[in-house]
Amino acid sequence: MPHVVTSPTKEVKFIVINRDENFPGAMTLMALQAPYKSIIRFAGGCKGMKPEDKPQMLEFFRVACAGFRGVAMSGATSSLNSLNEVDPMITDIPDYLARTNPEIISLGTAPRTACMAFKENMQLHLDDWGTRPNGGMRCIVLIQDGGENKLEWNGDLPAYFSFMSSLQKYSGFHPALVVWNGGPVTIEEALLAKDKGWPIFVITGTGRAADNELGPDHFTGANVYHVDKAHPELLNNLLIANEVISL
Amino acid sequence: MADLFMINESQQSSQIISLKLSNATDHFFVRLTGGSGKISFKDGVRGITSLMKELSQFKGIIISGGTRIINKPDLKVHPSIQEVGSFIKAKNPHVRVFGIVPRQEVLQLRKEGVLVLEEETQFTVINPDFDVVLIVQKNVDDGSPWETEWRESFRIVSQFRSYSDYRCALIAYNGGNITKDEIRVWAAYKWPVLLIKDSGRVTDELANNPEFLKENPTVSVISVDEIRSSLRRLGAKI
Repeated sequence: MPHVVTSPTKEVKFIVINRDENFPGAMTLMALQAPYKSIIRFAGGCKGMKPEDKPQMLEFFRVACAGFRGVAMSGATSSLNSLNEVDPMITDIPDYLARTNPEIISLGTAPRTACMAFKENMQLHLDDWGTRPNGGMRCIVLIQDGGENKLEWNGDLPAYFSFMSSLQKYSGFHPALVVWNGGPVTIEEALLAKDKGWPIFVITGTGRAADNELGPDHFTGANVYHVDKAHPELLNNLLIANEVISL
Repeated sequence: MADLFMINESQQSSQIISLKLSNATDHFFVRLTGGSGKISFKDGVRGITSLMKELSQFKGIIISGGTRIINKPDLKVHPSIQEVGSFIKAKNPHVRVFGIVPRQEVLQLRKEGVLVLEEETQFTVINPDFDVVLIVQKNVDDGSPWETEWRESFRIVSQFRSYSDYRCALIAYNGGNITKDEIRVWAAYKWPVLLIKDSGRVTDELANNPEFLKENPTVSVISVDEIRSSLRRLGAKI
């Protein structure tokens, strides 16, 4: 998969806001184009996963999200391998789902953690590690702390939680958080979502936070569900039961 | 009861307002523009009754000025075009009514809980029978001119058109020079404009200007009882 724009709209709207600004109405209006009012935030990472695990991850979400017609949102970044091809991460799931069903609205947020730069072939790099904006999003909102300061990787959490909360409160969206693997930022996301009462689906067997701090022995609650990565159909049933998917 | 928001002119729009408006059943904006204070009581009642009847089944979003004019000394509501939305909302749960108010003077909160914008021969207050009212000011010390109302509504309609699948129409009834500017801008952008025949002042002036109509094919001159069929032709579910 080359690093190109794959969004169904053939473009990626790219909006930069300061962290004290209100969330842009443009992304809100795009979310409203979803045929069904639900939004899943795909959180986590892929650290420690072998290349052969990646197709399994994509297949998991293909089965788990069957019938989903809402907003798929994740971090807005993309990573490339040595062949300059997209190395599928959790942040590529919205794009993957939207390509199987163009009704799904793929959106992304990211904090600006470094000074962005245009490099070879005018490719936009979000940091010095080659992180790129994800070409599968209909819209990306990049959150920055003014023009010069840098944010940490959790810098977009207040903005996207505010966005999802507003969709839920004022327009009746059904929010959910899906956790795959992940680190400290993912733990913070899961705790915030738990406090909000959103259903959280932790996919066990995917490594790191999903099997430790957020695993069944440490992270429980009425709105917390653990699903083994071998059973995507169970996640599908839970998404239906929580009205994130409507049949 | 209206939800009240306040922003400065330079601020970006509110996502909460967008979400509240999106709860209308139909993805269609009707912007109602025209005069109010200079319409006689009799003409006002006639105009409102006709517009109300034609728009009673509309299921989209109505944007107009968000004020209510109250006559002195009888404290009766003056029949301005801004009242159309509130009348429709009272009997139609599918519609969302959105008012925009440029703050010109310092607002006064009276003992009765009424927010008064102006008091001269009439009281101008915030219309409490809308779904959402947005007050726009330049900043905390400086107010905004009246044309801010149409400029802000144009910005919001434009955003819904650009980022979602909304359609729109401007209905012009009577009005003065500010209304004329608004009609000209909508026409220049090739957005649908419905000029109501025999409603008076600038709407009639433009409706009787063949050169203007020829240059602007998205402008139609219709009688008030053709509003429903015209909106249906433009894609509204009405």
